[in-house]
Amino acid sequence: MINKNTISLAAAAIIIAVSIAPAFAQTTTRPLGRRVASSTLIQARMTQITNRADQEITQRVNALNTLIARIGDMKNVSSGEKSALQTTLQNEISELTSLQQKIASDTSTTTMRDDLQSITQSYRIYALVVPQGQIFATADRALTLATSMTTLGTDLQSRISQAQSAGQSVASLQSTLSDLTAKVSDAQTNAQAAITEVSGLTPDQGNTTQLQANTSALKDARAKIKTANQDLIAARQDAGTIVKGLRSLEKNSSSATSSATP
Amino acid sequence: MSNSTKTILWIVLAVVVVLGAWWWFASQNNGPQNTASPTVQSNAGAPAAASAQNQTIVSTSTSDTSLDQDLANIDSQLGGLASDSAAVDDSLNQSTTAQ
Repeated sequence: MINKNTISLAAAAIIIAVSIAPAFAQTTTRPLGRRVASSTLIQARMTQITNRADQEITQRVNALNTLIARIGDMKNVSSGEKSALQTTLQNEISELTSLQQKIASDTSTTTMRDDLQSITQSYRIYALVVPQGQIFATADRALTLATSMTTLGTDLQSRISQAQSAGQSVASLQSTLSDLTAKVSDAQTNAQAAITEVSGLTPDQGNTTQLQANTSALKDARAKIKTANQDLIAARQDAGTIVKGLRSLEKNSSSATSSATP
Repeated sequence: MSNSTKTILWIVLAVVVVLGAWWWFASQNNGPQNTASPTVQSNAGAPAAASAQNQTIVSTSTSDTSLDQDLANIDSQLGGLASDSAAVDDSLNQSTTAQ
């Protein structure tokens, strides 16, 4: 005898079997047209990823080449240090070029996506390498400028001393020159500190804490460079003030001499 | 050939020799100036300007003219520094969107 429960159980089993049967049918006997369409979609996706990778890598290689040229123009680092920096950047270019070739020959979209992601996470060209190199180059230029300012300061001191020997009042000019010297010294300290701050930074490889530390160091170095820049602008203004003051003293001296001549 | 023709030919030959010698000496004297000129022209281009922005000044005199030149040189270097500083700002701003 078949009771009601047995009938209900059999009916439920039939309903479940009928409802899941199409899913098995799709995976096991998928029509040829659908398979071709899916393959075409995958191929299109791979081409899209390859093009995107080419574009991203080319932009980064161009930025690195520009930076290599700029580093070649640096004045305050030894040729060895300069060469080491350029070699580091050249290695980044080689690795990016190899990655570009790998992506072009990848056979799965998953691998391609991982490789595409590594362009940003493993290399950090825009997030670290380029700003780091530009901070080096800018700090180097600030140091070169500070050296020029120091030389000018020595010349100005010589002229002030001559005026003082001639009996002119030079207290104001001497004070301005002291300010110039202090500003140049501060600029040198800040430029050197900016170089030190960014010289040990390395790509974070996806580590969020290191990424934040790198970003913070780069921003702090930028602030130091801005301070150095402002110091040097102020020192230039001091130099202009002193030159004008010296000319004014000369005029006064020559007019006093001519009026004293009978 | 008559004697007068020979005389005229000798005179023409002498003039040619004298003019040739004058031209040779003149070209020797002007030579270095002519070769220096293109160098000056090539230095007036953009790379030379960029280089001047990064050259330290070397003091040779404390005359007014020398001080003016030093100030002009420093102004040029300050221009380069402002440009570099702007590039640092750009790269750090860009790093927030592209990595």
